[in-house]
Amino acid sequence: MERFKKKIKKAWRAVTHSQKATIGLIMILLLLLVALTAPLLARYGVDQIGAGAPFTKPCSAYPFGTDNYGRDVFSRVLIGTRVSLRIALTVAALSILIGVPLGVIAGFNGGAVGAVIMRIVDVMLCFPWIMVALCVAALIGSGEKVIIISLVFAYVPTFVRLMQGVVLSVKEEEYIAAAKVTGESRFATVMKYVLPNCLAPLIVEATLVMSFVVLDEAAISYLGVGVQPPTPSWGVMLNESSQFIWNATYLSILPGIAIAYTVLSINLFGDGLRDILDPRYMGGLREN
Amino acid sequence: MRELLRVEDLKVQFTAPASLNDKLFAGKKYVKAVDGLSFSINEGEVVGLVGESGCGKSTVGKTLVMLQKPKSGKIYVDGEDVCETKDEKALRKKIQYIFQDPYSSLNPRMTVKTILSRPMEIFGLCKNKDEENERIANLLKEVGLSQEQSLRFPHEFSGGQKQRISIARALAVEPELIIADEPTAALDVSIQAQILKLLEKLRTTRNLTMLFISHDLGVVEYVSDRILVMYLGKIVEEGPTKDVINDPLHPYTKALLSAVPKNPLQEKGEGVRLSGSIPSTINIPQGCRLHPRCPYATEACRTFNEELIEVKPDRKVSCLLYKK
Repeated sequence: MERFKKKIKKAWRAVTHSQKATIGLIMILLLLLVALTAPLLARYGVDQIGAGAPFTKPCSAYPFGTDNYGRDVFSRVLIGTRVSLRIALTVAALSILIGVPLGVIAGFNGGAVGAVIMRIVDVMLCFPWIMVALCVAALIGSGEKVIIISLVFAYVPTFVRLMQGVVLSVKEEEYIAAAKVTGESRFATVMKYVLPNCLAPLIVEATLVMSFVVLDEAAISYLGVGVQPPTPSWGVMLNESSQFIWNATYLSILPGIAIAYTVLSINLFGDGLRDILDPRYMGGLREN
Repeated sequence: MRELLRVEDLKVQFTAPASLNDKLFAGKKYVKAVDGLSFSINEGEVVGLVGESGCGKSTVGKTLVMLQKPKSGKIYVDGEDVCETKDEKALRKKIQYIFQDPYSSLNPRMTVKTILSRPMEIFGLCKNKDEENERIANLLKEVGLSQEQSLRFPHEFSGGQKQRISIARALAVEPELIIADEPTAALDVSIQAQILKLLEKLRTTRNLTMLFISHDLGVVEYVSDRILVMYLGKIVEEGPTKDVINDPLHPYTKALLSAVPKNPLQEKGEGVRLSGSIPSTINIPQGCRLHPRCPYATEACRTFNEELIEVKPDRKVSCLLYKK
């Protein structure tokens, strides 16, 4: 427990050392708070048709107006936070979990195994992920699973190729040879020498992917195989409101802001994290 | 005297890049980086390996610590065959390597403490953390750094200090033999002297055995007891440092020494200048590999088998001029 406390304290010091990370973290925490307390904050049910008159302009009762069914936009965006965040985080985490080990194996081992992995990845890249989504939906039925499976399929190759490239360059560094000379096993070399030096591009890529996923989810949902109405997700809301953009612009604003806010917070935190993990930025953080 | 390292007829080759056409019809071409090298090092001895850039000296070093696979030949460390050993870890503890470029040979994401403690952990040299900390403190002191610096990262040190860390890492497992691959080449001259002095000091305090690889004759003269001169992947001359420097036998060694500004050979009028430039290691000349460039070359040199001829005890040279 004591050690855990110390670690938290250290992490906190590290995060607050970087302005970007601090702002990003605060923004993300706010977002999580909203996601957790959304049902309390929302004044109307998400599928409460006719909560107000359709296309009510923003007013005190409906801060961001109501949509074509008369549903409160504000409540729907709040509830939608959960869906959008859940999908973004799951897809990014799964893609990293699958893609990074494969990329590291392909880059570090090279040879036949590496070639096979890279060719499989090339083939995966050939499939348009919308097609994959439709196929998956045909097999297991529509829903969030479809989004997750097809987007993981789409983003695993990104991570494999990224990591393969980075590992290829890092493994030629002399400190990898030095690790071998001092008796490090291959596994330890990868974990302690290769991976820490591949972190910067990985973090940047991960934050980018999370922001893409929020938007891609909208595309899949638009085809009707993703998030099912009336469940609100930001992507779906943005999509639905686009047809009324000339007459009821206010419908698009809040979902748009929500997506931009999430992407910004994740990117800021990612950037900050990259700085924090780079020893070059950490000079002032030593415990002495 | 215990023989710590013995190398027999070591050959290292790399496949030369070639077009598909060449691969199919002309056969693969090889860069013969090391082409039949034999030497040995006794306990407590510092041996210098000199040669110009591209002669294969670094490849020799890398092969000795198993970073590079030899094509043929034997390497014995303390009597054990490096290529066929079952216990690679035990061998790694005996032989350590100091890299040429201290800027890239230290993991930028590890503190000095971790860099030094990893080898100790791997080989289980310390019973507990206290002992480990004490050993790290001693090591740092030995190479002229302070214990307070142990929590810093490599980028916070100068080139000379980084090389000191690198030396400390090599010493961390208490190896019996250290291969130093141009440890001063990446440093400026004033720092070079400090690092050489440090190696000299460690040598006396730790009774180090070392293979010192360098292209700098002055540096090698300063640190080593014995010199091996290498040309195009082969040793052309071997002998005690003083003898080789003051009385070089092989035309190549003479040429190397003549290239040093203000050298005694030049003043005696015995300077040798080689003609042409170093041939490609893909097509090594037949016979004596120096003969196309050597001012003393004769017809017989074209068929010389490049054996090392023992001129006097401890003094070997691979040149027909000395064959009786």
